[in-house]
Amino acid sequence: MSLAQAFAKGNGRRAKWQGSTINSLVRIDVSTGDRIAVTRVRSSRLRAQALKVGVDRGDLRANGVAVPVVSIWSHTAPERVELEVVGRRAKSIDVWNAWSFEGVDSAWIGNAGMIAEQEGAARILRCSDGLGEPTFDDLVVRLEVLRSD
Amino acid sequence: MRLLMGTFELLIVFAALMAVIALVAIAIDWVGRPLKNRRFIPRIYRYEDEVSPEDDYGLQPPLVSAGPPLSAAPPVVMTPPPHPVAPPVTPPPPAVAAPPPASMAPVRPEIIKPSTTTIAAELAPRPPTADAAPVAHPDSIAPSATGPASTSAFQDTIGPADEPVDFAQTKPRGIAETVSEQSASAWTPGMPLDARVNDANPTPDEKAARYWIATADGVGSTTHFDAVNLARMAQGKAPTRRNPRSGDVEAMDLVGLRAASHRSDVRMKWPDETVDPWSAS
Repeated sequence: MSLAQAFAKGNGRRAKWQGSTINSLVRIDVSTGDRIAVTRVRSSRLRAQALKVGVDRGDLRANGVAVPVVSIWSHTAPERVELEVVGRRAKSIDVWNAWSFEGVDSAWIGNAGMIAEQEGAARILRCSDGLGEPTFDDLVVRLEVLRSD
Repeated sequence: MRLLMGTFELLIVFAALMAVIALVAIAIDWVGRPLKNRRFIPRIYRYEDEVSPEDDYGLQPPLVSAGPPLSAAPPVVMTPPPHPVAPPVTPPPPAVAAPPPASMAPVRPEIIKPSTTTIAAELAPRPPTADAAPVAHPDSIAPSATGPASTSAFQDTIGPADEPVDFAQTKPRGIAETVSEQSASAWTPGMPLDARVNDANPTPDEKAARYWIATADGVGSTTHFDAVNLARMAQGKAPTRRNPRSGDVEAMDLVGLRAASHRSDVRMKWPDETVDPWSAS
């Protein structure tokens, strides 16, 4: 059974796999003006990996662009990026991983999932792309929310 | 006109003309309701079993692989060569007007690729003199082992009339392939996505189903899809995923399917509205 099938049996966001909690999506509370610092620790050389960040209401400003959902691709984005939450009604952000295979940008299929580890104020997200067996080193990022107040 | 009629008479004639036009329009609107929602289709495009005309060299028109979709492109008409030379005495046989043989069924422009040898043989224009084989004369066609003897004007142009015509050698390869596709009663994964089955063009839904079946059939060791989605695709259904943000089940989209003939012409895409701010595009 793939991780996607395991997610489908539960609430769609968490599943148990070999004793670990696997996330298809990580939700973090934010408010307007917060900055989200994302540092890429490791990414697979086999295929492009991405971390996608979406805000529930409002926008995320990155590199001069304000959009609701941002893709941080391993082959285009710098190693460390910052996103700013824009919008008074913004309450939370969703974070999930994606990958590109044969020109198709995919997420939430196959053996895709993330292990989230707390490290001080930051989270370490170990991501598995959906191809092959689950290996949570396809993309490893450090994500920290820098509060505005 | 002014000499013959005064202003008053001119006005009367003009008013009468307007009245006649108005009455005709009313009649068409009243009586001609069945005419509504009917498209004008030029006579030459009416029949789908018409094929491309040939040029002076007996070649098919230029082929463009990235052309418009087959459904959008008007089917072309099979006509005799532009300069048929009838024998001086013998009248044209009735076979000229006969409907094209089954092998001349509509072909997809993308796959008609005359072989190199065929092009070389056909590049020389047909001599316009009387020693040229009468295009539509049945006696000029030697029956071949591989092709049926025919009096079709189209077949006459394939090769010199004084030699036995080996259709397997001289026909463009695309036609041979297409004929086998045309005669198929069911689509199989090796066939083009837009292959006609039972003389019918596939609908967009049928093309999508064919795409998924072909993709499931040709999947390699590394694939996007798990067993559940592969089973769906083998049935002609799009793979799905559950979006944990919205809770919805999303089906994969196909981009470029309408104009596609082969699987490589189509791009798979999950519903996604993300933006890469660092991408140059």
